[in-house]
Amino acid sequence: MTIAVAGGKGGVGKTMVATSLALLLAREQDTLLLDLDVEEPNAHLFFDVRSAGSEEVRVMLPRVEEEYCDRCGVCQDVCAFHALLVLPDRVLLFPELCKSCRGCVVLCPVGAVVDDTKRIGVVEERILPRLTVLTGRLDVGCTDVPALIRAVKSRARTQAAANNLAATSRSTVTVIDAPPGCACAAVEAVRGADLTVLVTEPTPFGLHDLDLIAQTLRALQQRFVVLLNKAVPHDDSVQRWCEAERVALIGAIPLDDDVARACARGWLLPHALPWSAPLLLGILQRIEAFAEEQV
Amino acid sequence: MKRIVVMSGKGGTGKTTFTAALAAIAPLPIVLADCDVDAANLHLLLRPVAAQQQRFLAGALPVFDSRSCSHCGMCASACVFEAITLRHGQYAVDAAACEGCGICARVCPDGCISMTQRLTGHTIEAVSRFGQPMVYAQLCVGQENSGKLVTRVRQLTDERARSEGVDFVLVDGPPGLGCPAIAAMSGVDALLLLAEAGAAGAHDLARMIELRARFGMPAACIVNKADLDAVSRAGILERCEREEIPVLAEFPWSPLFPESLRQGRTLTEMPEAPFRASLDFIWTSLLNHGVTS
Amino acid sequence: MIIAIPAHAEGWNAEVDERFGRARGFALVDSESGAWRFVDNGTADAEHGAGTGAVRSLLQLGVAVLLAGRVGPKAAEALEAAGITCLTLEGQGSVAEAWNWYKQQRTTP
Repeated sequence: MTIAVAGGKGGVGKTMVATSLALLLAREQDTLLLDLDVEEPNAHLFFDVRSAGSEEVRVMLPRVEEEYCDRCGVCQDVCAFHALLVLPDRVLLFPELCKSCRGCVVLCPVGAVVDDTKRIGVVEERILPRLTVLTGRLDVGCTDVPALIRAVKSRARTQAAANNLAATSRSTVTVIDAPPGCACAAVEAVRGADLTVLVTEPTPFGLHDLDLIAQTLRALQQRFVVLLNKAVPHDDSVQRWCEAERVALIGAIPLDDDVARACARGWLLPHALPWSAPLLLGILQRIEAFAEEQV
Repeated sequence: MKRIVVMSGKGGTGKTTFTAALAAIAPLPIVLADCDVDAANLHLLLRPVAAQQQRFLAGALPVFDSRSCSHCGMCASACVFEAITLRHGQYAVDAAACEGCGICARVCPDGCISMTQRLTGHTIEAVSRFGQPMVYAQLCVGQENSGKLVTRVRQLTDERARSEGVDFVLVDGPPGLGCPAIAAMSGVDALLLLAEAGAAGAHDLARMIELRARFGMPAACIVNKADLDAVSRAGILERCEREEIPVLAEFPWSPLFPESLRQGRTLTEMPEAPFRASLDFIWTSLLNHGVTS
Repeated sequence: MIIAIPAHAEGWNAEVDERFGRARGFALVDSESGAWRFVDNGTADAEHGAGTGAVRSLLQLGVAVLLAGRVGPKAAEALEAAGITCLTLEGQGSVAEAWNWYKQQRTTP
């Protein structure tokens, strides 16, 4: 089972929720927490464990074999991303602009362009009892966000398969900490999840962005529920939205100084504030019920 | 013309809240830009009027002429993004997977693929409720957020500033450090870094500082939620000192912030307005080249 | 020798465009004859790589010197590799003013 935690607005508490859920799930079964906010990954900060290893992620990058190049300029013409510049004495390549489409390789009339690779980031692994945290970390200056997200997911599949071979109880559950926004990075992160938990806050910003991401998920036919964070008693705007949109509101975490402080310090909520554990467990149970529901 | 962009790396640090607050008390005419085109929020606080919306086309998408298609399948095999598949006997593209490289069109032996531009989003030019020209945009859901729409917002903002004879541009930046962030930062005179004093905020700020190093523009810092975690706050202040980034002000975590958003008011429009002095000081610094390189 | 000046519009009095890669167009001046023309910058709308695309255009147009405000790191790398000299403009308003500034640079010892 895969549960994605997303929410259009930044700072609503996605990482706080994802790490809390992962912690509670790991009490019962093998759990994978994937941090797919590869531009600014934060989930690992909540677990006081050093990275067990960091694997480079590389994607295709062309290389021009100068001795065969006749400066015809076809590679430059076909590159939609302006990553190649044909100069009198050589071909200049801009790796950060390349999208790995292989057009230049395929279309070079003399076969002077070949496959090589470039590094876009790393996948870090942190191991705790029954919980593995995989963090995608994009190299600063790189823009291949979806490719790195796919690489982390691929690594997770391998890990889950290894767990399942070894385990005798329930199979591995995966929790995804998605990036903010509703563009292709968020879409790539939640794609394929059994259920997406949209975290929101009762402010005009939170609601506006919730509406955007909900639209996105509907278009993708991805099932989702809403979790209200920073709830205040005098504001029921999110409840009203959920009712009007016929979306399940599976719980509310109150706006609270202690919660804010715990989060700022990178403390896992169920550990830092014992009163939150039953609340979060209830939320988790409702998530599991929804995720396992046959549509 | 002077351009300042507010960035933080981490989302939810208060970029939009502070941009709006600075706009509310701007001591000179300014033009505003919201470069968070993925989830634009500035207009919710600045409630602009006289809005003019324009479609924004970008990113190529293949169009198939099934009449001349010989079903050789070269397009599908050439597509490294696996965006082309056979659907009901015809080759078609999955727009979400397509990166717009155009190689399918070039390898098709029948010449039945042409590339067209797709609707990526909308730009809106308007006037804020404080009378300032404002440009923002909204990406269509699920679209690739390359920097192009952000660049268009920056372009329109510059043009508005020029045509209105305004010399100061204030940009609300996007989160992250990918294409949209890079596009928002390009060609600005200074960066106003909004740091959130927490473990995540400090971590993300460090990466933003790394990105800024590639550009080399001057920067100043504002620390928000400064009383939540002393350790992170100290780390941020120390890093700023090392990088010679002046810290212009610090703000405590307070329910006043979300409450002001709920009331649709900028910070200085709240009854107590306790942050006025700090915000005024920020303006003084921005105008007197208080930001150093 | 052809000198390129990024500009917002056609015309000797057109304002210099501070950006390079996404400039509206370029005024191209022949330093020998003083003759000049304006070309649109086809890559102004590029999603990425506008700077490198613009360098390619300058190469094709035979430009030897570029007078520019801001040039991004990739474009700067491309200009250097292409052998195009880049001189930084300091607040010159119009194409004419930029051109005069350049002439002064050439003659001042």
